[in-house]
Amino acid sequence: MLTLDSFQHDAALALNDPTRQSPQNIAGRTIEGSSRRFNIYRNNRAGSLLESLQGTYPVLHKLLGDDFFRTAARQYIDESPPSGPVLSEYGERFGDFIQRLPGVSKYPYLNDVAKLEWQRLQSYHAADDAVLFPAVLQTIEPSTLLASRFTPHSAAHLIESRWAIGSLWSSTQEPDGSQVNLSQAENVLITRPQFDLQLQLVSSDGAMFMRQLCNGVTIEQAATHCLSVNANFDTGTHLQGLMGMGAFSQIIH
Amino acid sequence: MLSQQNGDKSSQDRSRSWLPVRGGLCLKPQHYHDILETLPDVGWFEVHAENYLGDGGAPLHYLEKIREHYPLSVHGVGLSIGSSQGLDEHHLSRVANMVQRFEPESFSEHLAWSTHDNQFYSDLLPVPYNREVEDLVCQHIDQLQERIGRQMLLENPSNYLMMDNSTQEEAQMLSNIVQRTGCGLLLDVNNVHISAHNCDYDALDYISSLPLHAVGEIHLAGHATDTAVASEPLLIDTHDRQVADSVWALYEATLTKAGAKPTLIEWDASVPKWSVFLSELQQADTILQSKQVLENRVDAG
Repeated sequence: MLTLDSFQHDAALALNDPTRQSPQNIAGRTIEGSSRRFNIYRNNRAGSLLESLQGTYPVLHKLLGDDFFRTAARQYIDESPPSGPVLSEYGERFGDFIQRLPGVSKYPYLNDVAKLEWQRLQSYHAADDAVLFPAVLQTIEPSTLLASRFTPHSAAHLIESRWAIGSLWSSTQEPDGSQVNLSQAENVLITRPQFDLQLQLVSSDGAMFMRQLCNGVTIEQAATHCLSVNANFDTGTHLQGLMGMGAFSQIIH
Repeated sequence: MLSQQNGDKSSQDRSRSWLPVRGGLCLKPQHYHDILETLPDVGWFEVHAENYLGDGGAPLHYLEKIREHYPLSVHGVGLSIGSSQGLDEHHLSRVANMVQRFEPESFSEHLAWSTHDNQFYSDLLPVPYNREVEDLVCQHIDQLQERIGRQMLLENPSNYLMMDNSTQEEAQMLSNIVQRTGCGLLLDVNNVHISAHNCDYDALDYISSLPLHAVGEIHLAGHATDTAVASEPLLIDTHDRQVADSVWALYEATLTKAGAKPTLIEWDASVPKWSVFLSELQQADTILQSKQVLENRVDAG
């Protein structure tokens, strides 16, 4: 008799490959009848994963259109099916996949839009860190402050893009969103001070400073690096700005 | 194996279900605010464990707030109890932590599999009904119950096909599993209606042959009909519409046999306005109340 493991092996292969016959042990009056019944599981699986990708990438869905999105999603599911049952953790490489599809090279910003959507979802589920607000700066001696390091907030993510992905994302949230000049580079900082996600644009100086601080160097080291790139870099303004957005959760002296 | 003791505290803590005998609703993110602002008269809420396994954020926050006001059922959809390759230890520990944190009145999972060779198939896939599968499912339920420190409810699947290596009836295998593991049953009446139609047996006969004393919860949901082959329509478990009249009728007949049980209205796709949710709930509550009145009369008499 067919063991459970060999049935599940056959069923798994048939779910992954629609051209493959359904498992042998399905009782049915005809092969067509058995296939029709097994196809319900194929459809359920495809529908569920498609819905999951659409939930994770609503802006990509809007930009690509339903037909293109569905076709691309089906191909992605074939190529990179989920390994675990938590679907909010599925689809990290969908943007890379989309960007490689024929006909998409005209829209080189799509992968960055996907990264933004993926990071928003990660931030939505990130740990509930307390935000370190700029007022704390008043309580620290300047020399101690310069030697301090920050712990990034679990929900804070910086996406540095050659394209105006923050403005594009925002425009899609309005029913008649304005035209966006996509060739403008943007650095987008996602934060979640409490439970609602925030999306803010950060200057190139601010992004450089954030990147340095997230690498775990001291404030002085980060500022020195930024000043070596831009002699007019203003440490105080950027420190206050990033903290005000909710980029950090702890300061370590 | 967990034995069914009576009386002492430890057996109470491991009880199958402490949900109130009322209608409950599945909790959807789009309803968090409505619920907390109006605290509607809903008997209890159910969530899918897999939607609440993140590190933090809005879902866990709102679930915690809503849990302060309502009894809670946690319903797993990804433990793949029917898998030939064992339970996923990592996923099991995440679910166990979630159950420990929210201390729900009930925890349930399905007689199905969804994972094979480290791939998740995102559907509740069928198992044949035979001794090999029964042994394996019992082993997994023992492991799960031990891990979460309580009894669980096992849900009957919606079937689209039968397998020729099944050597027993589904209801018989569920009865055996209940007896061997001490788990309870989550009787999905919509699934019974679908399976009975698709696999050509009598729904009420099936229900009558279950150990109804072990039913800790009932599920009701909407289904669709696939008429692609006109001579052989198939019912599909879609959870995207109101409960069909035929399923309400089977529900009433079930309660007549099993007594009033906590009853969930499931609605997972095309989620409607809150008012539509509430009207489905009221229908379940009305039926439950009429059964309870009858039961009380019988008890008094």
